[in-house]
Amino acid sequence: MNKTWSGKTGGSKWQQLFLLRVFKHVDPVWMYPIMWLWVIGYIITRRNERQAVWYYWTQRRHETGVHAAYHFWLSYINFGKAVLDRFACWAGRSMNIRIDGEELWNSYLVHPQPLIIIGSHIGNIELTGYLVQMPKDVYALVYLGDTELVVEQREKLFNQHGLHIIPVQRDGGHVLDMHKALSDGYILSILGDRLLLGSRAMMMPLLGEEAPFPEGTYRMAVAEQVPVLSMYVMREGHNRYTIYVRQLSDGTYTATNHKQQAEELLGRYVEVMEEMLDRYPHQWFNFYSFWQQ
Amino acid sequence: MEQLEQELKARIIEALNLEEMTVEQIDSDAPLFGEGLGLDSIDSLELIMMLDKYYGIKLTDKTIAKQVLANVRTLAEYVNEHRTK
Repeated sequence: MNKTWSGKTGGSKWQQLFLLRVFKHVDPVWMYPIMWLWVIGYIITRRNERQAVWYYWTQRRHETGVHAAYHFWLSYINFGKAVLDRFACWAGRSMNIRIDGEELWNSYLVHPQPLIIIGSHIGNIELTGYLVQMPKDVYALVYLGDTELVVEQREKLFNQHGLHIIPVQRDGGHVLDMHKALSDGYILSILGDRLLLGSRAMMMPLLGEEAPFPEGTYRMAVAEQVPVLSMYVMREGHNRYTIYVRQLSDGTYTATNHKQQAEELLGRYVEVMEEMLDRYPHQWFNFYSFWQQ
Repeated sequence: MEQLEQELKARIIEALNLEEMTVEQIDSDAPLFGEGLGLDSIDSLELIMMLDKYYGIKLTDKTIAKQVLANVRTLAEYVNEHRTK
């Protein structure tokens, strides 16, 4: 199985370009039959992903036989729909959204302050900055392993919505860029569930089994002593999304040293992650061996 | 300068929770990152925040930060020259 995440969006540059062109004129729903075929091909040819999704349903969600197979299929279909929605948004289409945790989010809109948003690959994370009004410009830490077109589209869209990219650098130089963004009063968006090659891990049980999480994300958040939120963009149906806003920390912690504070923060992050997975079990999109990295 | 180096070693231990280490165990010329103290990029952030808090130094340039945080001696020299507190 895959040991780490490759950090890439699927499809060739031309396939992605085709979707962007098509969605300027056509609703994504018309692409569903093609997406089903793509999903079948994907399941057949991508053994590692197939094993990872099957593991999630049989070992972590304890489904068996036909039930497991049904949920397994729905995971891929939901992933396909999420990808199509992502390209539809990049092509300029709008979605109907509802915010769960609106009062909390409004408090940050009224009183903007530096804050960290830790996201996950559950739901349509890529659409966060696109669908939600942000109190300040957002600097997102992004792994630039994607195709040139995805990065280009992301940057184009990001810039229109006050979003900026901080690329992950091998020498850790991005940490200073992130610190500068927060020092200047902006919002920092980072992922809390992706362990890149060579990064240190913190272990925490997720769905009943110990899983590795990127230590740097939580240590960074604790060191900065700013409020930390988690946001989830969950698909409800055709062109409909609910955005969940949850506070992980107000910038203070009960533990006294940074290591324990990072564990406290990760514990809260996993709690919210499990809440989302209980509500939307088919929108777990970490299609690689998450628990065995 | 030696006094400042000792002070910085104590600050490093405090900032990074290196409870198992003493000031005497940190060599002023040993690299802070990699094979020396084995610190990582998040540790460098904690040190940069420590410099701001105790010495009023805002280190934002990555190249300068790399040079300054090479070892305790380079750190002390920079603090001595640029401190506002």
